[in-house]
Amino acid sequence: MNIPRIAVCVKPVPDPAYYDKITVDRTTKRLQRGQAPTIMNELDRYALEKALQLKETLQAEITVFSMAPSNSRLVLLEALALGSDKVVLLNDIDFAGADTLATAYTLARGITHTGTFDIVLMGSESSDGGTEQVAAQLGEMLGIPRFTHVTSVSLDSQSGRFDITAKHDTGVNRYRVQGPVLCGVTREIATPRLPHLRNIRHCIEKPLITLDSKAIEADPQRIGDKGSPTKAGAIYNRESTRQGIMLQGTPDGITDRILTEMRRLGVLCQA
Amino acid sequence: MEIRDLSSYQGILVFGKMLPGGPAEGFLELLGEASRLKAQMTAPVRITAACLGSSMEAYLAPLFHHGADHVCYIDDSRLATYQPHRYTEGLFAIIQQVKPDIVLACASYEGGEVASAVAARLKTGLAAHSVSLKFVDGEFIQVVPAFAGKIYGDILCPDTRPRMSTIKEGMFQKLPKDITHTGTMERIKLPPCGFDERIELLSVEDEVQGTEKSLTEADFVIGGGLGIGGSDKWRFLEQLAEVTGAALGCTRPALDQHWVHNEKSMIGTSGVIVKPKLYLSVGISGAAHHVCGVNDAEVTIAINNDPNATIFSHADFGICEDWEKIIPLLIDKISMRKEG
Ligand SMILES: Cc1cc2nc3c(=O)[nH]c(=O)nc-3n(C[C@H](O)[C@H](O)[C@H](O)COP(=O)(O)OP(=O)(O)OC[C@H]3O[C@@H](n4cnc5c(N)ncnc54)[C@H](O)[C@@H]3O)c2cc1C
Ligand SMILES: Nc1ncnc2c1ncn2[C@@H]1O[C@H](COP(=O)(O)O)[C@@H](O)[C@H]1O
Repeated sequence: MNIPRIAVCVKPVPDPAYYDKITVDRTTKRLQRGQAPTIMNELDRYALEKALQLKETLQAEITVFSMAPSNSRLVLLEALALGSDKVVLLNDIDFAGADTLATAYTLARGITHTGTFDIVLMGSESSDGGTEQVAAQLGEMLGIPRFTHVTSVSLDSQSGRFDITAKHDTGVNRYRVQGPVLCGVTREIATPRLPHLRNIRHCIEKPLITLDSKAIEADPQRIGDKGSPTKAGAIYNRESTRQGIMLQGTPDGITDRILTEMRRLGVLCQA
Repeated sequence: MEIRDLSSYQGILVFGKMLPGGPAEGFLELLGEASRLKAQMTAPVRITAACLGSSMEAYLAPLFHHGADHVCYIDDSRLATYQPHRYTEGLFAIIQQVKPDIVLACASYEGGEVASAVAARLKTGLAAHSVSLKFVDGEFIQVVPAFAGKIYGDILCPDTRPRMSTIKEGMFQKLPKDITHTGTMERIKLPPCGFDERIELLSVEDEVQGTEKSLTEADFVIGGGLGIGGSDKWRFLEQLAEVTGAALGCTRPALDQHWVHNEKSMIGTSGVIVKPKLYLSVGISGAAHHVCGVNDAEVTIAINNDPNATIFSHADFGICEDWEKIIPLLIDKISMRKEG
């Protein structure tokens, strides 16, 4: 096998630490992101780490793919600083409004247009949408075996076979798979590193290529809002219906109050 | 988007997991929801349960007793163990056969993965982790969470069929068992599975099912977070669970600390949804990812020593105090009460 070629999908997302500040404006009904900065989707960082580890042992070449607005460049530079070789940013006004199907299609076109890959690594879920769909859908569109909730991957570079462990509903399965293959990973896959100062300096010299829908020869009917079978309707805040009463007093008084509530709800008698 | 002949797709198809002794709870819950949807639809609607597995014919009856009118299944030794490519072929074949208008699938590792791949093949819409399904003015609306349940949104699928949804276990309720409800059975064949030559299954590990009280069924759930501070201290929560008969769950950081070993004890978006009468959270900050797993608890009590903790706005009763001043005392009082 030649030098393994790895594709990693990275989604820039609003920082989950700010989720409590995200609301829907009551009058405009539009999403207010509460100034949340854009960061690399958590699980994609784990997927990238796995790619970096494979690169360290097998001299693999890593290409990062992201369909995102151009203001997410910082996240992509970080991917380069961490040690990827090249970033492909899929960016086009016509990609906007994509659901998972249109996203998977666009990523598939971007990947196919760029080259052939032995393995595609990505997160099993994104923290903002959290649909857990794109990995399986992308695998389907690339027409390669795919596994999600993957907890470990190794490559035997002699045979080109991957050993993959993936969760299922009641445990885990181990597979040996002839590549190319796609893996949606979970946090068990690896422990992400921090960017190295040396690499941060080099990252600006590495290629960050932007491709639009024409460049990847995408079918205009299958991208963005047009290519999305699901349409978003109204959005709303989840209103808390909780009473929000703060219990004051001594631990003795407070524990009595908890016991009263337990009795009232009938959850104490079972003991 | 290509427009299909929408009217040729009819009925509701439910795809769930067959366990060795019968359908998983989540499967029956989805049949319950399908029955409620059926009651809202004007035209006569058939509910199909889609099953994949091996030697499971003897265990299909509960599907009828919980609302299925029809069971379309593939019984094949190649489906004895879950493998994504084979299960995708299986569900795809069943959907081609049944042509349903609506598909409900369990949002489990397997259900979510298979439903996603099948939706991609059918080029149709799949709403993720729906929390509510309804018809409004004849329009089918799937309500889904975004940003870990901070925001909810309506999803429509106007131009393609089937309209698909994944749903987490514990979200909906199964119907009471009705042994008089029966239906038809249809067995179809597993089509060739393209990647069979490239994929070798090396081993299958099934987790030993824990004896802990099931979180999804418990009336009283205790949730512990990072604020507990150590595995030795975690014992207090275990003890409280023991003396009260509660089920004990946790947040992701508590699981990461290995205070809890069973991954299925985690409550929230990536974990389980609980609906107890009482939820007592201890040392939990109240991140959206966690709170959305306890939204449907009847009453919630939160103990946290930070007056600004988000959890207090999600609690009926907030206790701003060091948990170590509360929980051990609570255990003592309950133990004394039992002895006395
Ligand atoms: C994609 C994604 C999915 C996720 N899914 C989940 C999920 O399903 N479930 C989940 O739980 N999390 C999930 N998370 C993580 C989630 O965002 C939060 O990080 C997590 O819920 C916080 O856990 P915690 O409250 O235990 O810890 P912290 O946020 O660290 O809170 C600890 C709390 O304990 C309090 N405390 C400390 N000492 C004491 C004391 N002595 N007495 C009383 N209180 C004390 C502190 O004031 C603090 O509020 C997910 C995150 C991502 C990105
Ligand atoms: N716009 C995007 N660009 C690149 N990768 C993406 C994009 N959207 C989703 N992904 C990948 O798909 C994974 C699962 O996302 P999701 O299915 O939305 O939960 C993420 O962890 C990413 O690796």
